Amino acid sequence: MVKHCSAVAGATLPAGSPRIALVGNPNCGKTTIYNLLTGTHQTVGNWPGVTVERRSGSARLAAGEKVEVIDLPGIYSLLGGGGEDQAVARQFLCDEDVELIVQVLDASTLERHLLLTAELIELERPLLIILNMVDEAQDRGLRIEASALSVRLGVPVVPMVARRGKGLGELRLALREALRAHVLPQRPDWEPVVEASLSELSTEIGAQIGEERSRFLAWQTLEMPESTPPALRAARERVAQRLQQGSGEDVVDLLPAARFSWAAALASRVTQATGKAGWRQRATRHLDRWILHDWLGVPIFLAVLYLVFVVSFSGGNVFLDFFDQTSAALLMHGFGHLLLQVGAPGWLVSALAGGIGGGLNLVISFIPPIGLTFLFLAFLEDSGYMARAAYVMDRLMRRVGLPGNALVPMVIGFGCNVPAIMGARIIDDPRGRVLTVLMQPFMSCSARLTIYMAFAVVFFRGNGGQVVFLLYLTGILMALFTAWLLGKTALRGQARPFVMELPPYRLPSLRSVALQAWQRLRIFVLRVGKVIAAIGFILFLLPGIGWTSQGLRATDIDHSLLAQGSEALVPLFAPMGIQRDNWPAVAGLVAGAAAKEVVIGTLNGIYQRQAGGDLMAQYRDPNIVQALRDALATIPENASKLLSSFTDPLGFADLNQRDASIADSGASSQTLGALAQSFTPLSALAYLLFVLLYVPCASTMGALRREVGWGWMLFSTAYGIGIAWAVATLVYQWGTFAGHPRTTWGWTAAIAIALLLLLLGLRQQGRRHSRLHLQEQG
Amino acid sequence: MRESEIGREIRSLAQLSRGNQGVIHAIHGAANESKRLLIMGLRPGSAFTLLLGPDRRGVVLDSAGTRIALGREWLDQIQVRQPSAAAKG
Repeated sequence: MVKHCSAVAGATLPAGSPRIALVGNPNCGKTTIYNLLTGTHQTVGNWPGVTVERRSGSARLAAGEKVEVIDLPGIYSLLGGGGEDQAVARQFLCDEDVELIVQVLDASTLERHLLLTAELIELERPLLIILNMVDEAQDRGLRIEASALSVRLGVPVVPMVARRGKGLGELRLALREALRAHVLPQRPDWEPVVEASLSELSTEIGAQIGEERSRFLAWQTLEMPESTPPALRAARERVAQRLQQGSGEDVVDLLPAARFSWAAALASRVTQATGKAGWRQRATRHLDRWILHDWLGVPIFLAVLYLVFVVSFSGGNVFLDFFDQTSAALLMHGFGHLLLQVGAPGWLVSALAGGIGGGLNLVISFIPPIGLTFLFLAFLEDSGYMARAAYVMDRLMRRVGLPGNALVPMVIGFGCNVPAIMGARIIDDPRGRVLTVLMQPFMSCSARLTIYMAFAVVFFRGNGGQVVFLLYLTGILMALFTAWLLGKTALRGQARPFVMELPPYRLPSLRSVALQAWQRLRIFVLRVGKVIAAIGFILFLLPGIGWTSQGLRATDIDHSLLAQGSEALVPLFAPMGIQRDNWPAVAGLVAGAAAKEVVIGTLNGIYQRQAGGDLMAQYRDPNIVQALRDALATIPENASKLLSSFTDPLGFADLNQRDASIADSGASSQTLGALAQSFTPLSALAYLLFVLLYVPCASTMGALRREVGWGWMLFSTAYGIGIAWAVATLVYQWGTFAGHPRTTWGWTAAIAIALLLLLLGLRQQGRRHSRLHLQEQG
Repeated sequence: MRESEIGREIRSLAQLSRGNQGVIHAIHGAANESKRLLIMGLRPGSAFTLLLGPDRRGVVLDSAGTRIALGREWLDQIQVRQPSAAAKG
């Protein structure tokens, strides 16, 4: 560790837990350092008012000495650029009080990272530099003199190889000392004319608005005239004019030029060339020739995504039954048994063990595949591949008005729409991000597959695989159609020209990847779990109570609130082939709007009650130990099928085997029998199309609201239901055209008019949006 | 690359080939888009080596040790100057 103090503004460690902010360019290894420092002592929330994740954690520097570490989103500059996440980081650095700013530099590309250092210095706050990835610099044939850098910047500089944990002890020591000493950085020697202008404007700002960061604000207003507060415009103009006359250059160009020259000169002074580029550089060059190949790039990307998808789902399936059966044994049967033992009434046992316990069981069974998806995505992000994937796909996605990286959330959406919507944060263009988010509800998630399976067993035996494939394809086409439609109307515009840094390929730190995946999984389980448990509780209450002549009373299921509400909705679904007595199908759709996982469960519950089954039997005498043993035995059993599932990650092959399909769908024999009586193959197909296209689940809509706001969430809900109804109705009506040609033409005309009205409404919205945008720019 | 080593001829990025070196002369187009390049470390005066392209997607270039991918839309908007024949020789 090297340190050099140019200014000391304090001598004792601040009371309580001091705050330090980690800042740096994207891909500099900042999050790896954050994970090293904080371990599992992390919290993830949102920055106030925006959906950007706020990651902070507690780090122990020595016995009894803790600090709060805030991991800011990666930024290239304090002066603009990037998406919402970078704006949050800028605002935090400029406005919030932290005891120490810690900038992480990539030693292998020092010159570029020093551009941000130049801006941070102008904030005039205590600074510490981590010179990360010194091994990569060596591989490039470069040696950085950390001590020389420290002397020139006037702040401590700690060399590290964070990926391997090298330099962590020195970093902790340096942080302790920096927090005690409050070391302020040494200002660069700008050209006299630049320095005089900055000082003059800074003094004026201090006098006029008492701005604490007057020096940085002076720089900002000179370089970015559009950001000048009205009170400072006259002063800015005067100083800028003088600076322009003195230098003969445009101020807006002069200041970046000064920063670039300083960074280049400093990097060259502290860097020694030690030899030729090493194997990492050569490997990156060679890999890029294939991975970014004009023709092979796209197939390679699709292969990588397929691999992620297959490994996540096939690997997840090894443990899925264990998680499913263990949580069912404990949270449903065990818990229900306990409630019966303490004398709880049947309805309460059903609601708590069947409803809440059953809901949690559903969420827990999804942990293995979703956890693995998060793990692989974190691996791909840290390996440097994700940026390349965005570049490779940019040309194709641009045709529907989307940036290249929009394809990544789409693929995640096959697993679950919630992480897919959250994954759209990688898109920095706000328009592209909104479009990408609005596409996700149409991607057929794994929960919908259980419903397809149950119907395929009854109606499409022999060609179930083709029907399910068709449903997946319809979802993709509808997602692309939605992006195209909105991109031409309400969200008119073009994807911004592509520009992205391609970091060198790296073998990610397992610890860092695991921690990132764990944080995302934890958020998913907590958020989705709460919703599904609440829905489960309601769904187990509704079939037991109903409006009677004496008011709300306990009734049989055919007179329950569930039946009454569903029957009232049945006429709306009549054009897509749902008959009046098929109200359980509508109840399934209503429950499915909350969570697709509960559709088959709801149908099971309804048909079981209608058949007069004993709902308490499963809780009366459960053999928990045997159930846990059976659950454990599924792991080796499923592992033996792992290889064969690589060619069929979604289990389409099971569609050709009746028993396997029934087991996968979770439908009871009563449910299958009732489905056969209530639907025809055509109405079943229409129903499945509706299931595919309408609201995916409450958690997805919640995520959608958080990412793009209430307005788009409500639009997406209404649009999804409308499109689902239109597609299902058209399929059923044209499938039965011969029986009622006039009705078919009538519904088709009504749908065409509705679509036209939607188009006009969206165009109108687009015009209004463009006008507002122009006014803002003007 | 020193200023004296740079030729006078101005070309667009689209006219270069893989392996060519150059210096950005000017960036045309909307100011906010040029700003995006500035933030990524590319501005008039930045030296670079073309690593991949130009092809249907755009180019990948190396500037100050950093690989940056640029979409096709930039190819005609970025004007460059290449090393002079004397500097090459």
